[in-house]
Amino acid sequence: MLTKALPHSFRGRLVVAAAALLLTLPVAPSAALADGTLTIGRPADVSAMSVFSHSTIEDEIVHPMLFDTLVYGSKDDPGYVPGLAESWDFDSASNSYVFKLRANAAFSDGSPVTAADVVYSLSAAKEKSQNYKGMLAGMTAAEAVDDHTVKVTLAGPDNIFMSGLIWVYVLPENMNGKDADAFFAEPLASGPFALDAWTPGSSMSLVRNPHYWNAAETGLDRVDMKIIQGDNERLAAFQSGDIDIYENVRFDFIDQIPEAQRHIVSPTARTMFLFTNNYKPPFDSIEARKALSYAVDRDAIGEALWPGLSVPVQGMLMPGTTGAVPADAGSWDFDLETAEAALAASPTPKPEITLSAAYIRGVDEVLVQAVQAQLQDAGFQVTLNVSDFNTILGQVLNGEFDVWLLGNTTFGTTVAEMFAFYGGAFGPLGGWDLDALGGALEKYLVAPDAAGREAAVRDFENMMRETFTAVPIGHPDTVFAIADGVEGFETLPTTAYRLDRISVNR
Amino acid sequence: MTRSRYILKRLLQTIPLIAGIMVLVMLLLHVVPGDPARAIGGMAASDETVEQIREELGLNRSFVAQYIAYVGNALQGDLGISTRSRQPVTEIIGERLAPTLWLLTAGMILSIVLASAVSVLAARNKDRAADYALGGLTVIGLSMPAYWVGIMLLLLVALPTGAFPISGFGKGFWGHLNAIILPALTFAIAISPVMIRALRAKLVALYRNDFVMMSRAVGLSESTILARHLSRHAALVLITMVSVQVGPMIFVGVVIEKTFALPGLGQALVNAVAQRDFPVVQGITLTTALFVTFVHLGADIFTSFVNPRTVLE
Amino acid sequence: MMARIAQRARRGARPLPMKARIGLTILAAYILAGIFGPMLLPFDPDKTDILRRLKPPSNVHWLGTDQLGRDFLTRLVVAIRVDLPIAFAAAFFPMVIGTALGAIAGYYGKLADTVVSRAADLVQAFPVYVFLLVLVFALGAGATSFIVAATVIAWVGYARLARGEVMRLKSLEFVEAARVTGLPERVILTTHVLPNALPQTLIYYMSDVVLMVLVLSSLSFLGVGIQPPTAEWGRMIAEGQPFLRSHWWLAAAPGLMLMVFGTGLSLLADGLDDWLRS
Repeated sequence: MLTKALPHSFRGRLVVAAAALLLTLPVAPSAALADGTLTIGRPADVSAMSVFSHSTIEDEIVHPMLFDTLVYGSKDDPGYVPGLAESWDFDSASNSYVFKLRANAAFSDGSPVTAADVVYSLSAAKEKSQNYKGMLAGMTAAEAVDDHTVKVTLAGPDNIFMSGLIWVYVLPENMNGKDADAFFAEPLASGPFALDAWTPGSSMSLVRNPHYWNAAETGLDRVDMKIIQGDNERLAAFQSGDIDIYENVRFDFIDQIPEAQRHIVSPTARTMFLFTNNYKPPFDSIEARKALSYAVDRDAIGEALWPGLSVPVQGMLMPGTTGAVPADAGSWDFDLETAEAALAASPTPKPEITLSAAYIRGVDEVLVQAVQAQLQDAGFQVTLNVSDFNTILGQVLNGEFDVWLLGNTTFGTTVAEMFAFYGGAFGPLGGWDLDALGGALEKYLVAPDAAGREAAVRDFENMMRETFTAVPIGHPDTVFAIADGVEGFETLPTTAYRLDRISVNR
Repeated sequence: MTRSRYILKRLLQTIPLIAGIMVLVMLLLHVVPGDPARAIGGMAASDETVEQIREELGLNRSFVAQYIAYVGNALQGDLGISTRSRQPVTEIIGERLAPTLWLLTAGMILSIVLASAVSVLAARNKDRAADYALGGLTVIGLSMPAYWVGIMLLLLVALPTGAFPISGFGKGFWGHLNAIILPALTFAIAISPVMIRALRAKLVALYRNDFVMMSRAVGLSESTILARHLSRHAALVLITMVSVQVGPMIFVGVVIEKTFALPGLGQALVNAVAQRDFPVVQGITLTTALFVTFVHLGADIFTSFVNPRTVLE
Repeated sequence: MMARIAQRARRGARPLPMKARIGLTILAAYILAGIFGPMLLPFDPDKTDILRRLKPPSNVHWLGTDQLGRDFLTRLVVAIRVDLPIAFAAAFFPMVIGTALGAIAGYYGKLADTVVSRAADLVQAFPVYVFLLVLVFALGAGATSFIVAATVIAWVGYARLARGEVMRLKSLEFVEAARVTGLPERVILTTHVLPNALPQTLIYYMSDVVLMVLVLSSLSFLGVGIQPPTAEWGRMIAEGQPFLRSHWWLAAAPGLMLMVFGTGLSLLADGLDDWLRS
């Protein structure tokens, strides 16, 4: 029997079907092409929309765009420039500031930003802000003088208050009668942008706020932020043109970014360190922490993993911030024998520990495994717990961690902010000596001059280093990749940048 | 049995199968050692968080109740909400579908082309050097991990020529097409060896057949014989192979998406796994299982048209 | 029955085909390298030295060092001790369970057959390796989870094979003969039927091991398999990929190790199959 050939009509139908299938495949919209739109690829989402919760660098890029502040951070001394407050006067006799607000400031619904809103925002921040309330501790009263004038009275001399204002976000008075959850679910913006869409952990879009007082100088119509966790995937997105700004370029990938597109923040006001849980074994023991510290070969890590891209370990307070001085007591040397001896002397000579890490802010696969190996060499049994940043942060906030390897970037331009932050956030979480820390902070706040502030900082650094309270490794730089045509991108050593200064010109 | 009865029977068989698939997808959550809610929240989650997760996933109800709820919701296109992004799972799947469909379609076409060409070449040269060489290559092809093939293509093709993106999905239709070439080739290299083995064997048997001998005797050219007589058999073998191989194909697709950083379903699955986002893992697993089931079904129905004998069996 | 034995004896006299001999040599080389290699190589596979990371091949480090400064050759060889035993085990348990279920289904038929066949259909309705991936994830990454998950999905192939073979064999003359002598069914199944189904099962097992080693390495590549710092080929490829431009061998070599092993075992399986059939 002869077999029939495939009927002709049948073959034809197959071709048509295949073509139809191909044509119906959705074609992804090309996001970054539209003019006035900037697309950012970043490793983590904001930790929360609420400006009162614990804060990360992502928050510090997004929040100031949505919520205006009295002053803006600046590279130049004293570290801040006029923002919503166009000017201010300080009266040293009464320790009070009088701020003059921009007359044309308005929320994204068009209603004016008034002195009452600012007074409310100041007191709300002092009361609720996890990160920044310490910086407002010296504020005793805030009152509206008239619609556009605010008077703030301080308890006494205060070296932290003004730079703290960089992080006092202006919300409508009483959040328009809503509770915080409801308000931040649909926030009313006072900054250069308003929230357009947000899928937590995935993407966020901002649109230009036409009512912002300086809207004429906002360079972008729209900002799309994509959360792309993987180092490889983020590089891919940049190389294929899906994103214009590629945050947190892995050090081993720098060669793959054309030199003209590299933006290296050097030094970055960042400390890479091992944050130990000093409440529970093994790191409740100073011997175990000493072993941890002596087990880390900081010079090797700096030389091999961050070649020419780091500042050698200086302290917990970062270089690149005004007032950072190194400790002059104790030691952060690497010495395996000392490490082994200290571990043998600790209550848990063969500790099994979990090393938590998220691949963000200078932490990558190679660094984590290098640290893991160095700790193993000293006798620690180390299991890795690698996840996304907000997961790890959640675990740490609940106290369920042994040691967290993280690159902590300051949010201010002087040591003051981080100083207060260690006291308010890391210290209580890690079980640090809060009395010693508070003493040093107090001394810093009231110091009459730079030398006095320096002494206070040194007290703190010495205390950290002598008791191995936390184990710094170094101060790696931050690398961004910026697509051609993106103009006005400028970072502080904190790595924060203002989106409203950026424009695209393709 | 008539063809329509056969098709009806196959359709009806699919229903208990899908019900079973959903049981297994639900069970995923329950094979987690210890408390699944605790596992999702992480060891560090507070008791309230864990309780909330348990509530959300319906873990405090009986398995049967959970199952009925899951099936009921799934029928209405609701596969739950990501524990991480709070985004509906169906929405995530919708967003991620395009690169995966591109990869599967292009990869499948390329696999079939490659498999047909190699099989014909091998079968025509049976027991000659070309056949042995191709046979050897097939065995090697079976032993190469797909992601590694992809990386080697990057090394040997993309980097020296600069003609293809190293990774990502490109932009616009032509960008996608260009970005999908190497992933699809990787796919074909991983998938075609199994097809080649089956197809070559079939062709060798057919070439021995009387009708081929006869056609040769009456002076028909080899390509005419191939087109007229063998294509139907070859198509049947290929359809069967696609049906049998669709499971491995999906896995290969996941791995290739990771290798080339294609933002498809596979990448979403791997990310969801890393974040212990169970509803997304379950949703994507269910989607792929349904896809497999329908490919099996489609292949059987297709075969019943091309080869009516299968209906009788 | 006599005829079959005679036939086997004749087969025994035939030399193994070239394919099988090449395959056997490769397999033996891997096993020997896995056993003795780590003893002969002077390096600790997990000992990092980041100051000497990413070094090219030299006469100290024959294949250079990896991204953490570990001796790359040592890790390639030590990984044999990880990938091979896990793959052999991950195919072994499904073989035992699948063959038993398939044999029962094929020999007793009826309800047993229905239950086993429907269960097999269900597993096969899944994209099996994706299912394996999510199962390993649910159970927690690691070798044990992999073996358990592999058993859950891979028994099906063995069951189908055994069922078919047993159905074919049980109607053969020598089985009927055994039945006439009054041997219990259970004994006939285990002593007369199963041993004859065994060669095909073993051949299938070998190709299954090839699949398992590929799947294991794929899972490790995706980050769900063997965890660092353990040397494993798939993980090594993933960690080598970022250095493709400058250190291509870091990603290439582990893949070659996988490919040659898989090719060797496939050739052995093919060769044995030819040998048994001829």
